[in-house]
Amino acid sequence: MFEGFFKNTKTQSAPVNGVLLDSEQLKHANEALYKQGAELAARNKTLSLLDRLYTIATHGDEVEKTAQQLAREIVGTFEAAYIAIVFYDEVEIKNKITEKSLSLVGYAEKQAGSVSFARGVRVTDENYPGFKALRNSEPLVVVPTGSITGAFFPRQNRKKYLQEIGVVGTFIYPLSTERGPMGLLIIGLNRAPSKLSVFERESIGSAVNVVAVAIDKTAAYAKLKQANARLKELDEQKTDFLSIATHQLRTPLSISKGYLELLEDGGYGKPDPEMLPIFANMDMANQRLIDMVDSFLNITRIEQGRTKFDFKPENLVEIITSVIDELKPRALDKGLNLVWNPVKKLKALVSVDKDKIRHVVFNFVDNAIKYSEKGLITVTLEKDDKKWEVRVTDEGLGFEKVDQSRFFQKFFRGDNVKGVNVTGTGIGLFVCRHFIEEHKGEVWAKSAGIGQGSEFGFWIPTKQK
Amino acid sequence: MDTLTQIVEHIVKEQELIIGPLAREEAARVSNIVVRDNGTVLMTGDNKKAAIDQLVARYERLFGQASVQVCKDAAASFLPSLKTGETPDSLK
Repeated sequence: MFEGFFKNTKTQSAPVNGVLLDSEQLKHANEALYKQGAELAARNKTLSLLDRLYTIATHGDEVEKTAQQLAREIVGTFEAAYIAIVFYDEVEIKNKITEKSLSLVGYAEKQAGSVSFARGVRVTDENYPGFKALRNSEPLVVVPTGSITGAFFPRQNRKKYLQEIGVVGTFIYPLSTERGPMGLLIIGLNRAPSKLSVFERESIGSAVNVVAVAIDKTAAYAKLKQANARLKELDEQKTDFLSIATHQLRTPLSISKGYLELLEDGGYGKPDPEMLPIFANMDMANQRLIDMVDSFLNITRIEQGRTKFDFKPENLVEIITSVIDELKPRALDKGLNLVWNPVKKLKALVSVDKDKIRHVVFNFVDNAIKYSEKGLITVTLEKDDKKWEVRVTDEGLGFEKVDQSRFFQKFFRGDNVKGVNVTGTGIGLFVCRHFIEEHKGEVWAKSAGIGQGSEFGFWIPTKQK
Repeated sequence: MDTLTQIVEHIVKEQELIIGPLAREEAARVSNIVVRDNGTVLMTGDNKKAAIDQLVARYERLFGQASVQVCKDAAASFLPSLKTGETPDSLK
């Protein structure tokens, strides 16, 4: 808004920049000032409109809803008879034969509620003027407008619609982004297009770009949302399948294990000594299968939120010692030196789920043994004011820094271990991370690089809330 | 609200964006036009068409032809709904 207009130019003289002007000069000054003010007002209105459109674009997550809001905003600003936003698509109709299609996604009238527009109507006739605007990437002025409105309105309503709204001329603006054409903005006017004001002409052009970006962004977001929902659905189906399949597998494997042990122990007569290593191999393979099935069961429980935790005060030193006792023979078999020197006076009593913490420590030490061919494996337990830290370091394969954050993802197997003859599903560390996070702690993996050994560890708070 | 009153209200609003409170002051000087504090307009008397012509003339006298164009733009979307002979001469 401009200040400093002179109200009575016929009778007054007034100083402008120190110069005294007569009434005629004052009138000219006033008019010039007014013209600038009018231009500024038009720019302000355009900016204000764009601001409102951007706000809608930012918050939109459904194409129809966003288009509807945009149409409502624009129809009010331009006092248009109606605004229609049309979405362009290419639809496959038969074995890779596509059909160009336009469908109405947003519509608003100046006098809302007089005629309901036909939702879901698709236009595929390439003679429709909208296709021409899209082909040429240029706005189109259409007078009269029956062919435009008729395309989206039921025939029996068309006449009534035109009468009620009194559309005289229509602008069709193609909406496009760098990816190509994506729709139309149709502006139905109750006056001739030539009667548009300067503001209207300028701001329609700017609004078209914002509408294109808004619809494009919202459509992309909607597609992503849809794809994400589908992925989630598939993931749930996979988890359900895995849950059922692993449960079904677990029982016969346990039975096989029982019978194998009976055979080994002479429950069905003293076994031939030559058979013993065969039984041992079968037992080992069976155990591997059981471990794998257990891992899958853990995953399905985590994903279905069925993992149960039983927090009780437990001694971490005892938990770690039991793991070391179990795995030490395996380390020795490989010529590895497994070192665990607990501070005996350390009161390592903390509220944890013993089985879960044991599972994590076992996994870390077991991995260190699997992926080391030489050297030392050290297990340490440390405490500060806030947390307990367990570290398992080895002098084995090591890994690249890029893998560091991915070790605890589901089904991730590092490039460093792919060529190594070790069975693994990429589930173990994911399960460990979940168990530790349920204790309000964190896991980590560190290495100076391939061949430089590695450190896997976790911390848990000294007090569980 | 009848269309002619809507036109006056719209003209005053558009002029206000350019010249500020002066727009309402000038409108209030036209006989038969009352501008309320909230910006709504009340038109009294039978000859509303003449009142609009007077309003446009007041703006024109102060700010010239550009202000007439602003009045015409402001009224443009309302004119089609007026009956023949109802359109004020100043907005044609």
